Amino acid sequence: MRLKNVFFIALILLFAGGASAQEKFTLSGTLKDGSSGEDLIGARVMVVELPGTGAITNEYGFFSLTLPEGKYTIKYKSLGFDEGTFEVDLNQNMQKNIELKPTGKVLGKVDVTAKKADENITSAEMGVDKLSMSDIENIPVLFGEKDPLKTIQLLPGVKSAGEGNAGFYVRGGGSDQNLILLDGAPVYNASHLLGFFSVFNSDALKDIKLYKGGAPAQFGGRLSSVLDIKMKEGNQKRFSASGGIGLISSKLTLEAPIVKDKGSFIVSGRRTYADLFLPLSKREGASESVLYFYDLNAKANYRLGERDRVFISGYFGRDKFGFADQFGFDWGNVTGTARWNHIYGDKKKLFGNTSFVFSNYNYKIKFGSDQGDDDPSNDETFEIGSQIQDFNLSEDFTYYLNENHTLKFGANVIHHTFKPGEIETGGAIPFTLNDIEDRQSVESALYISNEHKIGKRLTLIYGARASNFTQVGPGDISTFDIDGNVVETTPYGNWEVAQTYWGLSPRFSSNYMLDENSSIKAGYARTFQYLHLISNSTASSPTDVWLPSSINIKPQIADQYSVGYFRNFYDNQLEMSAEVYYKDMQNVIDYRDGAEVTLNPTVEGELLFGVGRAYGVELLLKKRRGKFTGWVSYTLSRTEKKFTQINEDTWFPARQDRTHDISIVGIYNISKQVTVSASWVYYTGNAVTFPSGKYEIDGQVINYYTERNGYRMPNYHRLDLGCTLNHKDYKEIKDPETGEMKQVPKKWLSSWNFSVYNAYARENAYQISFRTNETTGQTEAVQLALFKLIPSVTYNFKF
Amino acid sequence: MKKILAIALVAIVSFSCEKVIDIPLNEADQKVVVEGQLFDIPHESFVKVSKTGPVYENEDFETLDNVSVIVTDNVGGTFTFLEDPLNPGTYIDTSFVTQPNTIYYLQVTTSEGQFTATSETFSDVAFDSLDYVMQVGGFGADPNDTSFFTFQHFSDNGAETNYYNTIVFRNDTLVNEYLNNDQLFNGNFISQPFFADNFGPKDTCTAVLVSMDEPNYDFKFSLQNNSDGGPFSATPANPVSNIEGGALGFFGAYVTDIITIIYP
Repeated sequence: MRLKNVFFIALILLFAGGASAQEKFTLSGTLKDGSSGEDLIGARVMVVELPGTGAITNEYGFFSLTLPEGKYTIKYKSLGFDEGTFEVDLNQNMQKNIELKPTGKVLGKVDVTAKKADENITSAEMGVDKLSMSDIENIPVLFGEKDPLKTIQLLPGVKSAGEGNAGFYVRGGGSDQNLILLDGAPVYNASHLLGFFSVFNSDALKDIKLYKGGAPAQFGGRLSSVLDIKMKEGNQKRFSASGGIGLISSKLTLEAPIVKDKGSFIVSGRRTYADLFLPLSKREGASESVLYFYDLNAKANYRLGERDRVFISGYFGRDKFGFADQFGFDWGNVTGTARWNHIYGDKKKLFGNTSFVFSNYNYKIKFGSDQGDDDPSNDETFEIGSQIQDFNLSEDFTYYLNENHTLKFGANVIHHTFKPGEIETGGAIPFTLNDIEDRQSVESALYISNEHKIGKRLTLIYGARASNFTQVGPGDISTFDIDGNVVETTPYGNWEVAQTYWGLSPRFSSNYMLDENSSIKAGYARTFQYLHLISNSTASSPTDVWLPSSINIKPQIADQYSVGYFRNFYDNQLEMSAEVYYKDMQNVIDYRDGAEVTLNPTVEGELLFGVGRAYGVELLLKKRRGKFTGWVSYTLSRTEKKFTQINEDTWFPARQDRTHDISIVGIYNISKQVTVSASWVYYTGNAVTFPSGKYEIDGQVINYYTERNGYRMPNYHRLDLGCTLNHKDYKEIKDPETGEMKQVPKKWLSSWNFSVYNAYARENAYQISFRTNETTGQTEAVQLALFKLIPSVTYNFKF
Repeated sequence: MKKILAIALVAIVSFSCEKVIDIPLNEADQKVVVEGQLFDIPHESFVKVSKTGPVYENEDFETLDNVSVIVTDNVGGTFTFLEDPLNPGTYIDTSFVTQPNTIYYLQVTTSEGQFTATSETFSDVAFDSLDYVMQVGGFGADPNDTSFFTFQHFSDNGAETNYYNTIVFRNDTLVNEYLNNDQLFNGNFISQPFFADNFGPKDTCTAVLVSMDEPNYDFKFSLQNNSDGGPFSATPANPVSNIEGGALGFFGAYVTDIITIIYP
């Protein structure tokens, strides 16, 4: 009997214990910068009692942590801010919004995108580089213009496309294989002034993340990389202005709350005045030319309640080059994004973002004048324009299932319109030319991905993305034969499907922590690219055309495998990584001999299709803290292509194949007032086609070529130096009570920045051509170099 | 288009510099070059035979000995071109003229091999007119200068696929060539500006309209991309040749028209 009682009681206790065992509740909230209200991306929230358990804030500063019921001490930290803790008795779902206090400031530029000190070891993401805005501020660049696109080229695996060239190459891919997103809107031409500057005004930016390896499943559409750039939200506490006045350009940023701590806005603008220097040039016609560009970034956000937040952001930029009213050439991007964040459910585990995005890139070339009056018969203008325009609707969810699983899933649809050539002639022009036909397509995708923590050491991110690309009418669509001649042209009606492509991209990456200071990672990703930039010249030109996949152009496909070893030394002060990758590409595009791609209605007939492969090793050693910081990066790599109709179907190097690529960056804080920096880059020259003979034909001497890309440009190297002098951020006044001098913070902060580009004035080859010398009649190789030593001065302020 | 972009680049970059550098090149094996151009004007047709030379050497291009050049057509004619004693390497027949709508065959026999080519002529072409618009000032010119922006006008034969080249002379100096095909205006009236040329007061403009076949058009078109070498030109490549047998060059038979105007 007694045994039975014991047994019975034990059973009840078991049940009772089981019934009340571990009900879980969710602690969620937002972490913000206490001085400005900016959301903190990548800040850590940890549970002291449960080591290894925690969460990281997402790009809106939101975190969600599901824990068993109980009392906990929660610690939060973010680089550049004071740490803090709070106690919580988690017996229901709770929300806790925290504002962190910044520690040390330099001109008020706090790093709101804190990277955990050991994030490179613990994060399962592979092939990812995060740029801090303070790195960008301190690295000297051309004309003193801080440029995020130029700064990422100092990282391993990312190569500059060269001076005068807009793009960059990531792991051997072409410059159109990088998806550049500004608050989620794609930017099709991220360069000003034929590539010397990018469209990004670093004063308006908050976070820059570059995915080099397989990007996670929520990204797709480009083979080589995703550059995800986020704009600042705007100071939610008080009005703030900052700006700079420089030799070539000036910028101004204004930010203020709409309603304190609920909403804010930021407006940032920049304009160059390069044309002021043209009268100094001896070139014909230069003094009457017009040459400038401007950017405007504007953003507003508002918190509607505990669960809802809306954002609107836009970018508008334009380059203008012209001569009086006779000739004009202008181009630019317009992007706009409207977003709505919503936190779903009682437990607040589901975070959703709905976005509507608009993006347009267009250029216009104008000849002739309209005489300034309204009389059409005096209008002698001839205009050619081209544009690409996207409308994009997307829905992204993050579901914080529990401490071991975070699910991301979503869908998006993009409608692309391509207008390759629109022609307008004024009334006085006696002829008309037809426009080149528009093309339309719809790109859509569905994805799901899970970040899975297994035990204390292993993290996996796995998922897949299913995508579809459909070419639709209206329009006349032609097909071509193997020689590029039109075979037939078929008319399609509105929304009638001409061609559709499906793609399934699995994505996988994993991280195994060997110990507290080191880890190994491995990953695989497949990506599809449906838009292709058609450009057959050395320099990138604003008239390069984006073409969609179609009956004639198949989507490009890449499979990338990567493995890496990451190790930190000296308490995370020194970071080392080594990554090896191999990329296999299909349906790669190249051009027939002598292809004409500008304003060609049958440009698809000029394209050839083949395969490509790229492989390499990337090494990085980085010192992250202390008076002296900086990094050394080295990439050893190869990129090659193979086409049946080029170089007799053998593997040949792609133009961007660069065997060695070295960057050394050093930043030294001599004192609170003075910082000096230097960067040195070296890379192997591009593969180029040089002649192997010459002959006379049709009255001219022309070159004879035996192989494409068989030679190399000379190696490129350059040293840049910079120095920043900060004025004191306090002033000394006499305390009226004690009579002693005391320090009071200044409202107006300012600094001077001096930089020298190409400090040892090396003439790096921009282009090499073979010309006949007029006096001697000899053929000689002539090298054109763009920049020798260029100094620059900028004055920056903030209040 | 490309010229304009090149001007834009140069205007921007006043700090740039050029210098001659030494680049070692792999010298290729020498190849034979055959250039044949037949016109419907007496004394103008010729065939040139030469060889390629190394890039850096200065001498005239080598010619070959014992070359026979024979042109035949599809209506039974045979024409032997003999070497011009004043121009070694050039073979002429002073009385030869092309006829419209005829196919011509070239046969060049040398000690290094035999090379053949085919070209066809189409119907006769004629300019309708040249006219101009007066401009004061203009891109790259003094604001007080008067210049003339000139247009050519001619009709295309709708029944044929035509390719044209308009060769423009300013005061007897060749300034430009404008290639065209009739894809966008087959059977219609074509009007086009000589957009890269400016003519001044009292200048003489002579334009020659040349009608050619597709291989010739392809050759001339790809030739433009070979010679310029500016940053906006395409990856350099050999022009597309229509000579069989392994020689470089091209062979073309043309019908033409000429028109001249003098500006006020």
